[in-house]
Amino acid sequence: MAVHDQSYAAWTGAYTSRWARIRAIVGMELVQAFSNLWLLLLLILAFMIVSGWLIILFFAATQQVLPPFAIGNRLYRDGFYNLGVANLFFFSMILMLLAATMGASLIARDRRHNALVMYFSRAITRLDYLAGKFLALSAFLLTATFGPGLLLWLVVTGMGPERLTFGQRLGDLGAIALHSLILVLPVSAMVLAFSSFTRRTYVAAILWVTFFFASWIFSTVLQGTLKEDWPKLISWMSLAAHLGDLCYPVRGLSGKRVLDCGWVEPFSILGSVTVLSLLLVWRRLRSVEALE
Amino acid sequence: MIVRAERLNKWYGRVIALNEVTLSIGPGITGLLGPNGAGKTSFLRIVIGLMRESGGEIRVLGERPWNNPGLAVRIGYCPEHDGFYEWMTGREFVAALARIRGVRDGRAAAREAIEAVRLSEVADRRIATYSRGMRQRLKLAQAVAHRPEFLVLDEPLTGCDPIVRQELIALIRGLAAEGKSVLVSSHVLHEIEALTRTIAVVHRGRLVAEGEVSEIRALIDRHPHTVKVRTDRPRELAARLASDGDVVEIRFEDGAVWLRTPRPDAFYAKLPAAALEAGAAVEEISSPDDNLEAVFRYLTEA
Repeated sequence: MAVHDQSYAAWTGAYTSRWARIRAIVGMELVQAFSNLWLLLLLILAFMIVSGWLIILFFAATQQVLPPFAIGNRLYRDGFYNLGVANLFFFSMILMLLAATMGASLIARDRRHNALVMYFSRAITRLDYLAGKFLALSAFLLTATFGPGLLLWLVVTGMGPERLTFGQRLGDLGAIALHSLILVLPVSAMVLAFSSFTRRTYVAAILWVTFFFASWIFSTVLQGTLKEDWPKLISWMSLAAHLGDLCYPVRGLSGKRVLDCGWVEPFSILGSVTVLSLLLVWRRLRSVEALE
Repeated sequence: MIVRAERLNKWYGRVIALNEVTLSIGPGITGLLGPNGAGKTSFLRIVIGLMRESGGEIRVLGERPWNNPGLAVRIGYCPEHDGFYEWMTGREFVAALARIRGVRDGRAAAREAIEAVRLSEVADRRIATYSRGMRQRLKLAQAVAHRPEFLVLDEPLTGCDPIVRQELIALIRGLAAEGKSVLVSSHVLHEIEALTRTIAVVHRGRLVAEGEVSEIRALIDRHPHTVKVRTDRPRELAARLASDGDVVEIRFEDGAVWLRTPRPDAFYAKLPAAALEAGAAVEEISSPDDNLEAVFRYLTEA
């Protein structure tokens, strides 16, 4: 009869850090996202806007008198991130679609595939899981916002006609990064919250898209009915566009602000929604049996 | 002790899943036996830190399991239900989970684990194409990829055909032989018996017995054993099995043959040969809880 060694020795090997484990979740989700053709097409669309601007700027640079949009940092504000008509901002729409496609599936899919058990039986906490999913979605959305913005900034820095100090250029870059984060972070949190409500990705996506357009429709209808400005604060797009606008130091022509208020009210609204959404997801993740 | 539970309770709202369970589990393989809904999965999930106990105390490898990532890296868990990303290959899946578990070289760990469960040939195929047996092996691979000291396996043999069942049993015993402690749950005594002599029996959230499997076996054998066999030729297989006299009742339902036998050992020993003779491809063997229920009732009343 074979006598097997049944004693156990304590584990002495080294494991990676907590951050490395979160990064593993982010990496897995990003690989998945970048292999999705629809998401890639939307990303290309974001970069096409930059390409369009670069062509326009190339021809503008050959003129003796520069057009207004080529001076100062209005190019990033009105011409790029806040480009749109009738309070419908083009970049917000791209983000909305990207978030609906990638973000809606992040938790809903794990619930559908019973993968939460696989995650939480590992050396990660609910908070690590939430951080991983949130960072994955945010990082992906940043490739559609900060990526094109950075490209535009690089080309304008290299070939732009405006004479700026290093500090001013760095300030523009910081403003672009901040504007991108303002666009991305609340969206990521909100979409994750919707994703945690259901096992079906399409339901989460529909909930998010409905919320997004409902906020715009209510805002527009109330503005028209009440003839007042405060309903603009209901519109998700207006809030993000206004806060983003405030990131840039005024240089050249200031242009019209999206909202007639400071940063406090929009920041409070978007900040509260972001925090509440993340708290909601965390609360739902605390109880695996409830999710199952 | 690997696991020490003291008056452990778990409630889901007003439903009680574990009721004052006091249990000690030592090194080696331990079976956790009980019918569906007995509280096995709840107990296992508390052991691995997936759920928090509602009352009582539990120590696993000397530590509290809830919210303890340091302990989680020392435990491997194979859940009852599949939890795969079907679009991934088996290798990608095991590597990704190993990285999430904290293993530096996820691919190397995955390669080693996949070899250990003998899944190398299909490791680069999408999980969606895997058979039941392959899926069970994959679940085992992800559980052992980070070389845990303690393995917790929730119904690892459910729904497997006899050949896969034998292979998995050999695999689990092999893992134990390497020095890992294993806690394995099942609602089929025959499965547990093939793995270990040490068992704990739970029923309706209570620990009703613990000790040597032979004692439970004696009780079980007093009650006819029901076995459901799903095959493409149920009538031919039933005819072969009935001819030996080990089967006292046969019925055909849901495309499967249901057999009752007073001698389960002899029945299970003859089943593969009978299937071969009948030319029947056995897709699934399962044993409902009817026979165990009687024993559990007896134990509870005692």
